[in-house]
Amino acid sequence: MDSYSIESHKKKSRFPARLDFLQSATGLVLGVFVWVHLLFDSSIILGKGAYHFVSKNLELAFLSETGHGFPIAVFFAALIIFTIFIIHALLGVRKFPISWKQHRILRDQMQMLDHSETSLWYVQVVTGFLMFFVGSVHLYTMLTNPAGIGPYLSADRIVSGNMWPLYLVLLVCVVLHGNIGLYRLCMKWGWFAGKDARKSRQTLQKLKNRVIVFYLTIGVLALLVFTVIGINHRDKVGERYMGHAMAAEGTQDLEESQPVESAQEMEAAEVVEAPDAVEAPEAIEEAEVAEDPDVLEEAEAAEEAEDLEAAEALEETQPVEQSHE
Amino acid sequence: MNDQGRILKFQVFRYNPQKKGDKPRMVTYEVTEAPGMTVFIALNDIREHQDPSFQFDFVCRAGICGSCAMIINGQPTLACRTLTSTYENGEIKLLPLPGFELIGDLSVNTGKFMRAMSERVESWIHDADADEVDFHRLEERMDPDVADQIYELERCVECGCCVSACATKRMRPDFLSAVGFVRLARYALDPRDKRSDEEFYEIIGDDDGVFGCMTLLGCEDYCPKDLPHQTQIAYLRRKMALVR
Repeated sequence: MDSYSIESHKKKSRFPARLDFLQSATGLVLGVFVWVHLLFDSSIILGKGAYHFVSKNLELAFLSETGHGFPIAVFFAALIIFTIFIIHALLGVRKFPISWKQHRILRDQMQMLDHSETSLWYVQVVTGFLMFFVGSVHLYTMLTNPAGIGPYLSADRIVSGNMWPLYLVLLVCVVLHGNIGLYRLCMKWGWFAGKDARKSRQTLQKLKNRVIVFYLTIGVLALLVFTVIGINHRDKVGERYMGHAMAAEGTQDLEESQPVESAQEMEAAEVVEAPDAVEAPEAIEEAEVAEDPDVLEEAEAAEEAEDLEAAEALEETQPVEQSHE
Repeated sequence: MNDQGRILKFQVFRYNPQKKGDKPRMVTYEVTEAPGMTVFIALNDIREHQDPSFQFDFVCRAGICGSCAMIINGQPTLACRTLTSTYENGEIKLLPLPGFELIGDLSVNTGKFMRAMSERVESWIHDADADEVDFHRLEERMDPDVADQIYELERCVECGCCVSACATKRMRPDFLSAVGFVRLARYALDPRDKRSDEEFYEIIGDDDGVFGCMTLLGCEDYCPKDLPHQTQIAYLRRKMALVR
């Protein structure tokens, strides 16, 4: 068949199409990953036991006989995510208003036109840029110290390791960038358009806003709970949380120690409240509410803990384990 | 609401590039509001009674020709379809559409841009067998739904609002922009146009084309004719991403 294009003698490269698709695909994977990741992180709100359970199982503990899991799984997960993250950053940076002139025009345009979608895109540019750094630090930590993630290690990292400012910035960036991006993906490719694309867009906009509020809330709460645990645990940095071992000693002990621990946490929370001043009272409430299911879960875990030897082994390794800072 | 007799304050961009030594400036004009007054009517009032050198475009005064598009209080829209009563404080700021060649004051050369766009997307039916049409036979029938879709996209009046509302286009002047995509989507839908996807790819298959669109949706949100830019650009993007 004859060709109609004026420039038909030279075929256009398919690269732009592949790159555009790849940018969307990597963004989709990262966005959904962050959804799941933050949900798992927030299990700390339910208690140390819940977080321990989640982190152990993410190390594929259910596959190993000793219940130790394979920290190498975390390493590979981090490696894959880091790779996708770098590809996405590389592709995303093509769209940045990279020259002064482009940036000037964009700012002028935003000043002239009060258009939320354009502003949201600028938010993505800024948060994306910040994540080059904060995201990389976090991913590098996961690559180099994949082992032993648990409530105490994470809390120590956040408080004694001074990582809380980084995690706070990363949380805000990733929640905004990711969810705005997922919404934009739907618009870009016409997903979930249904019969009335405009109505679907409004629904997706609302959904996006709610998801952002939800993840920011549980994210900040989780960070606060970690901070409380971390401050409480400041003198014992490096000690690992022994869900099964502690439970194996008997639920009686745990229950007895509960009020004391709670009081300690209250004190700690009060200390935190002043410098942070971010929904601290609610966090305390949450933390208190979270105590009961925590104990229950540990009690259940104790009943299920048949492998006492393994528990003892864990206990023995305890002093050897050092914090990853 | 009794807004009759209200004094409207128009802050208007004035600059004539043809005049030596002229500098861009904002000039304020006061106009007494009349019932049902549009910005377009007010502009005519200013030109007739206050400054005959004031330049702006209009033809149809009914939202059909697309000539009177300008930035009204920060929004690209048609002056003839904007009631002055919309603005409660009676202050209206007018700027020429950015992204186009300025003729003078509020008048921009959208025609030149649209002509270039039409040529770039080859805005005509492509059919190699068009010369061998048998005029004694009836044309092939078109599915009414397809015809409706095509007519929907043909409602574009080339006013240029989508171009001015697009930050991508502003930052990257070679970007085709929404009006071009909608035009091309119209031909992609048309069964009489025999161009293949590979041939459409030659026109929009790069970062100045559909892959340059960052989905800021200014086109969709500021189209005075409510054209479905978002769905059409998504349609082209899906189509072009699948070209092998």
